[in-house]
Amino acid sequence: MQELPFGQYGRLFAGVLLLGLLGGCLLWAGTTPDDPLSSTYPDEIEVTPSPESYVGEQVRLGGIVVETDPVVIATRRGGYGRFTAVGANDHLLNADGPLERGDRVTVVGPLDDESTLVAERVITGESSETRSMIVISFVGGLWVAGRFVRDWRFDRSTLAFVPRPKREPRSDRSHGAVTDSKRGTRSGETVSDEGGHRD
Amino acid sequence: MTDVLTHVIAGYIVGTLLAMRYEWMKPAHVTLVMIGALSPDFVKIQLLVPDGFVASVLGVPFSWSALHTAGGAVLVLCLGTLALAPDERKRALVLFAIGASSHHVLDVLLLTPTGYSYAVFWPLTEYRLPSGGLYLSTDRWPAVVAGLSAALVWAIARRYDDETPVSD
Repeated sequence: MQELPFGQYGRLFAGVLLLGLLGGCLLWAGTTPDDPLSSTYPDEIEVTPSPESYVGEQVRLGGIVVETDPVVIATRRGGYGRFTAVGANDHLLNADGPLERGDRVTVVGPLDDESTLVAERVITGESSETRSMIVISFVGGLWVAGRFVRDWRFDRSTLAFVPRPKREPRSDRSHGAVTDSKRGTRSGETVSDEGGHRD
Repeated sequence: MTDVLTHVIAGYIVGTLLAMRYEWMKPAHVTLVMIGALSPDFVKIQLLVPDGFVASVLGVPFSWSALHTAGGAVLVLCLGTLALAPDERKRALVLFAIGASSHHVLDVLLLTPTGYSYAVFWPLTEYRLPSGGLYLSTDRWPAVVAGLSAALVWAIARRYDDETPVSD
């Protein structure tokens, strides 16, 4: 893969083809009944409006604990969409429990009747995207972007990113003489090609 | 999903360790591993431009989720590779792939309510691997562990660089 056939036109074609395939993938993912990233179980958005059609099925309901004995969760704001989660405290995976009012939980198990869920696996405290997580993620993105700008430059003649000439780490200076003498035996163009980066 | 920073740190650790093993790997190549490790999280664009919005504009079903799967990763990373100089592409693709793999390994280890992970191999298969159940996406300790490991690897790499004679 040193150079694509047909040069820049080949590259353009490959780029357009890949973009097309990627776009197709995103549309395809949209038509998939079970989104690749979500679980295959029906969730609170599907179950809450018509729980009767899910009785006996394995479901995954996220909500807020509104009562503790027995545990009742509300899947909608304002305490609506109530389901009793039988045995929720005994199947709590990531806390010692017991659950308290206001805890955010996700309960997985079979729906026993229209308003009762037999809890098999319960997780508390999981929220999809908290503000602090977004900030931390942004820091991660900035770090990578900063490194890329530092390590790579856009070469206008080839319309491609090339590594910037290697920075001299302090420790390399002691070996510099050896390297320089080796370089000296090469043709001058090698050095200029690499930007004459050795000091 | 684990936060982006943890993934990027993991990419740094893997990249730096590889750079100690392979002499041709420079800091620029470590950056490529980090980009690969970050790339599945391009799916977070859905926070800015939700699936439903795109679907309503285009008038067809749409989901960014494909970006966070093997199939999406291959396409995104091939596109990224095309942006680089020809003689860097082969190595870049491998480094991107290593980074992206580290991302998916960490995400499959997450604790999920269902006990199953996401469809990581989509569109080849919708099979969901059993989830590792090690941590929640909101847990802070994985980031701390990753950060401390990165500091350790950074120190070792520096020492290693100091002791390794430059050879052509």
